[in-house]
Amino acid sequence: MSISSAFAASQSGLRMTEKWAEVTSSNIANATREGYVRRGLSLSSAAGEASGGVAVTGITREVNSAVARMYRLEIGRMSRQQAVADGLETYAAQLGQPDDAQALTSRLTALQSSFDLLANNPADPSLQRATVEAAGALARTLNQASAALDEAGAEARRGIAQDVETLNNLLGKVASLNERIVQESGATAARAGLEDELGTTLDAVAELMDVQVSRDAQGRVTLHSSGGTPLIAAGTVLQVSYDAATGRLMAGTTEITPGVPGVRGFEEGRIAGALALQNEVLPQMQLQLDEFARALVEGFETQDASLAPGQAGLFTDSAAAYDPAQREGLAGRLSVNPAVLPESGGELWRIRDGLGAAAPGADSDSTQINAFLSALEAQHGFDTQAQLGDQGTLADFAANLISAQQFVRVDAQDQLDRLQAGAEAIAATRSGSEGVNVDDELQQLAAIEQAYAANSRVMQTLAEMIDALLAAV
Amino acid sequence: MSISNAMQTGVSGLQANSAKVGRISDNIANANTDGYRRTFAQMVTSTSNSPSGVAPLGVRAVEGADITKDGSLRPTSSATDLAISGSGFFVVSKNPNDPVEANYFLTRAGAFSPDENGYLKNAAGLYLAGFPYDTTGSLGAVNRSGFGDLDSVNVGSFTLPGEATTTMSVAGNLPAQETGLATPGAPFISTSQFYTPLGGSDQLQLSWQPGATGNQWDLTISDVNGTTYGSVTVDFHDSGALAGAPLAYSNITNTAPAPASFAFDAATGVATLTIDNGTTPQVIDLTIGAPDSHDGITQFAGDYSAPEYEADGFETGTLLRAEIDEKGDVYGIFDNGSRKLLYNVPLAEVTNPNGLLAQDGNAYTLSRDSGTMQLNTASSGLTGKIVSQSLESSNVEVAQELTDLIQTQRAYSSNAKIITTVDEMLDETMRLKR
Repeated sequence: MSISSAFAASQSGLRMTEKWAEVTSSNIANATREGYVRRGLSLSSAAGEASGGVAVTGITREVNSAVARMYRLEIGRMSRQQAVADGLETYAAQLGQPDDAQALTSRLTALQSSFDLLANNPADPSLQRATVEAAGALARTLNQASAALDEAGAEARRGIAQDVETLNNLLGKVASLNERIVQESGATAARAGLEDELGTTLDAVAELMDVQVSRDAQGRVTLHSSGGTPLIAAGTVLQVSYDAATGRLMAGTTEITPGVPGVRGFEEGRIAGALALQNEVLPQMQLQLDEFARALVEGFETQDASLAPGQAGLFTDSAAAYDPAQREGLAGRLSVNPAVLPESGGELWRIRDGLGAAAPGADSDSTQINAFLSALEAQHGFDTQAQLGDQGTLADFAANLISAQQFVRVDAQDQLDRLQAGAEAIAATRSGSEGVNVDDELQQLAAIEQAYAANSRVMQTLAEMIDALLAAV
Repeated sequence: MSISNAMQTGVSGLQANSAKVGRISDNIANANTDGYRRTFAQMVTSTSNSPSGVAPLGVRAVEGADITKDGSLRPTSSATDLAISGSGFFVVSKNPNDPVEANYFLTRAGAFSPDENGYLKNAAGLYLAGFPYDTTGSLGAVNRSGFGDLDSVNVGSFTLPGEATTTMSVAGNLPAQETGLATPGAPFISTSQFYTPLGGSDQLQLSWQPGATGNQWDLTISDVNGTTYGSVTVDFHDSGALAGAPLAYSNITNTAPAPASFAFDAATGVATLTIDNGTTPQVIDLTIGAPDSHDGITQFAGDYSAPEYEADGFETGTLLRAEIDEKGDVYGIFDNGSRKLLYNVPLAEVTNPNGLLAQDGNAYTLSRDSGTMQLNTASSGLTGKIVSQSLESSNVEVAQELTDLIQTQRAYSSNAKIITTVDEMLDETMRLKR
């Protein structure tokens, strides 16, 4: 080792320290930026065994792919529950709790009390009026619930369409980042920046759907849905398309709809949550509302002795009698028979004498009213597909319906809260292993300062040695 | 020995020492020239034998060069800055692809950068020479004792013509629990890339349909538009040492419209696809995995993860940049992501490097003293290795030169003193006669 190679060595030390300062300052500057992964320097002894000195071989990203994968899975789970909870929020508020005055159960109780009062005083027009209005209120409550459910469905479909468009954009972005990463040489700062962008994009994809991420030999990312259907593979991006009418999701020509048996789709993410709403949760809720409406219409038809076959009872399917083929959407079309509504040309007394009565009966006759009451109190058979029991009174069914439907939302919210705690823990681990710790960086700054000073000191000493020699010549 | 002889000796000392100062000044001037080798003057006695007894002695300077001593390497940021760690020289030429052998030199100065045509040229304007690789990545038989087979290394405009895929292989796992279900689910689809004879990129789709029979799968291979080439049923071992490996292939069906076709060798697990994409259809051998081996597709219980494909051939591409490894292999990195060997930069070794003749621009030519030259591959045998992003500093040690300078200065003054003393003595002699 001679003076000139000592010069070269300390020069390389200074150059390394400068690069180190650059990396550290960029870490500090980006400390709060989402998706920034801490950079480090990879060093080696300078080329050539005899020469000494230090060489910077590249800029590394302190990425922890296992934690990143867990984080993305957790985000996907959260987004799914969030989509279900958010999608049902308006509807749940509309549906209310069983003891709310506006709720289906209270409307049913109100109708029953009106009939009770009317039974004691069948001729009182104001009580007749009140009973008809209570029936109207019950029908409207069901109509509103059904409308809110339709709105939730429309909202979910709009959300999915939007998310699918976002997803396609993100996939396109991943593909273009793939191309750019391949073209970067080694571990450059530019490549680290591209990798950051790729990481952020994959995080965004994970929020929409859960994917398998793998890398090919050239560092390109390939994406498959968690069930194994290719999204980005062999250099091509498959467009994801969504058919709002059928609720089916396709990647290219392969179906990836979540929740469909046998389909190699995915389970988590906002799209999966919204599709579960559209394909499973909302249709089930609609079925429950329709089943309630059916029992109501059929119950009052059965108990109304005045009706001719095929004639509509107190509750109607848009003024018509119940048709088993038309059950779907019945809750939305439920209305009170115009025959008891004076404003539609009907007569109030029909609430006492039956909807099919041609002329008013005896003022004190409460037989039909008691029959109507029994429709409210009797056990009805229910479709087991509604999953609310096969037998029960209308009030039981309504109470079950409200609590079961509220439970779906509450359950999603609960799971969301639970997942949130887990996701936060993983996010903290991730930012601990990948993120910037400003304290550490500041400590490094102190080390950088020392290293720089030490190298300069070596140079100064070497210069003095040469000076001494020059003075001797 | 007479007084005038003493004068002569003094003069020879002056001459020799001034020659030595000349070398020292050369060295100090080139102390920061990359790849420079220090020169020096060695003192040799000069005498003429006379029968009369003691001959007049003198000194002369013989110039030499310290070519074998390496300078220290310093890192730079350019990938085309090359240094040699160990013995050997780069071969450079005056002009790109120079046909005149006399225009080839050896040098250690490796600050190469592309010229306007993409040829790598060092600071002295000399072009780096290397052996070109052919399209199959082999050098072939090259003449390693002359400059005839060398080309100038060009990293500027290089278009990779693309090469058709002939063999492909797949490795991965199929989830065993998906088979034997009453209603098997949808097939697992994966795509793999291959290259057409025109260097285009195309895809094959492999669809694995789990069977209703346990551990049985139907593999259907189709093109990107969904036209199927054919299908084969694969049974996997369900127990024993070979559990998870393919057991047998059966039901080989060719559904491809002619001239495309699908054939399957059940003994080796290789599908031969004939793809109708030209007058002569492209034939690709796709290895699925030999029966009783775990090298290709396996079937164990677990999650499905996309299988990995390997295909030979490459896509047409334009050169983005070049990388040089320690064996002197120049790799081209193309915009389609492929890497390809372009050149091998050999290192010239001679029997006696110190005997090389110095030329303008830090270069040397062969001489009688240097002995014969051999173009060796870097990092092989005793040949040095090529280090990219580095330059070799000059091997001049300034402190040594300065101490030599002090010494030479004293020697020069001493010789001058001899001359003045002899002069005074002569003067004295003159004054004897008045």
